[in-house]
Amino acid sequence: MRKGESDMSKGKNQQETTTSDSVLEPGAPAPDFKLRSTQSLRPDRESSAPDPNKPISLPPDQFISLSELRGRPVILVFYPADWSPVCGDEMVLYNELLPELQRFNATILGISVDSLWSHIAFADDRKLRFPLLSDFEPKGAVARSYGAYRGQDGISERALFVIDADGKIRWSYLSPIDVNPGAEGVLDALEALESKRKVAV
Amino acid sequence: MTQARIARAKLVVPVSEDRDHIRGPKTAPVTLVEYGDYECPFCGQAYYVLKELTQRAGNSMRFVFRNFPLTTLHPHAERAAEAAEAAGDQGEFWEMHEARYQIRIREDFLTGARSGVNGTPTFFINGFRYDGSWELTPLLAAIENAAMDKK
Repeated sequence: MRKGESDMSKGKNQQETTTSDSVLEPGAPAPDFKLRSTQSLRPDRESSAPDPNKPISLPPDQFISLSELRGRPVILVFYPADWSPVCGDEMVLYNELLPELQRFNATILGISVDSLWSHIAFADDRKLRFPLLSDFEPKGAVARSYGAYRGQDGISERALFVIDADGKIRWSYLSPIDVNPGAEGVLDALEALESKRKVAV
Repeated sequence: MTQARIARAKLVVPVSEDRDHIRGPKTAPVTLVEYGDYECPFCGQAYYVLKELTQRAGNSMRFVFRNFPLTTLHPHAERAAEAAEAAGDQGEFWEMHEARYQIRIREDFLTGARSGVNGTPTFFINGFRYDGSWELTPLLAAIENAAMDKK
């Protein structure tokens, strides 16, 4: 096994399709961050769907940090921008899979450089029930720390990270920017984490 | 433009006569699987392409539809999928089977996600995801190629 490659990346055909010199690899500690969020974390309770009749209101200042999520798997979804086409939309797919992710006790966080206001409108429109974090100021700082920033375009890459309960990256994937990476890699990685945990117990 | 993937995603649940609605001859060398959402406008367009495709491909292709309803965006999609499932089981009593349909649709959705379905419609030709355009000409060419490979 190569240095920096965990057993979780093997057998996943996605892993061979794109390579990046920069994106953080399995085995690396996940850099901590604290970002403004569209919703607060209520890990033990699924947040309810937004009320369509209620106008978008100003949320109180809410921040989410990675370190407060220690003890459970975290999925970080870096994506280029809010408002991409609907039916092939990556965020909508993950939203639909929330019950499945909860089965793994995992928390999913979407991150882009969009402002909180864009995030709120986007989450409202797509009825997203998981937090979107605004990597807005300094712009793209968190994406940079994960090696997932496109300097030439000023947006984050389309990249996925699965982080274990100890804050270590266990699986990462950099997708071509215009390709929805889907969920199979994330689900496989969570399953591998779960089986490892069971063996350990 | 979105052909960057080299590795091809595979169906994790193979087509089976027990669970799938299959249209077309058993002996067909090519099986086309669509993961679709009844409320997705693109799937609606694809329907007409598939109708024409089925005619052109003749006995060389059989077609399977599996449900991939994005229920938060398309609140009626799951209901429509259930109705279609019920119509497939002619003569069976709707309420009795509603729960079973819900389980099957959820199973379609999850195994679809595991197979690399990331939006609708997504097609698989003989078990491998087809990432090309789903206009008639390229899709028919892909079907014909798959039929040739089987010979």
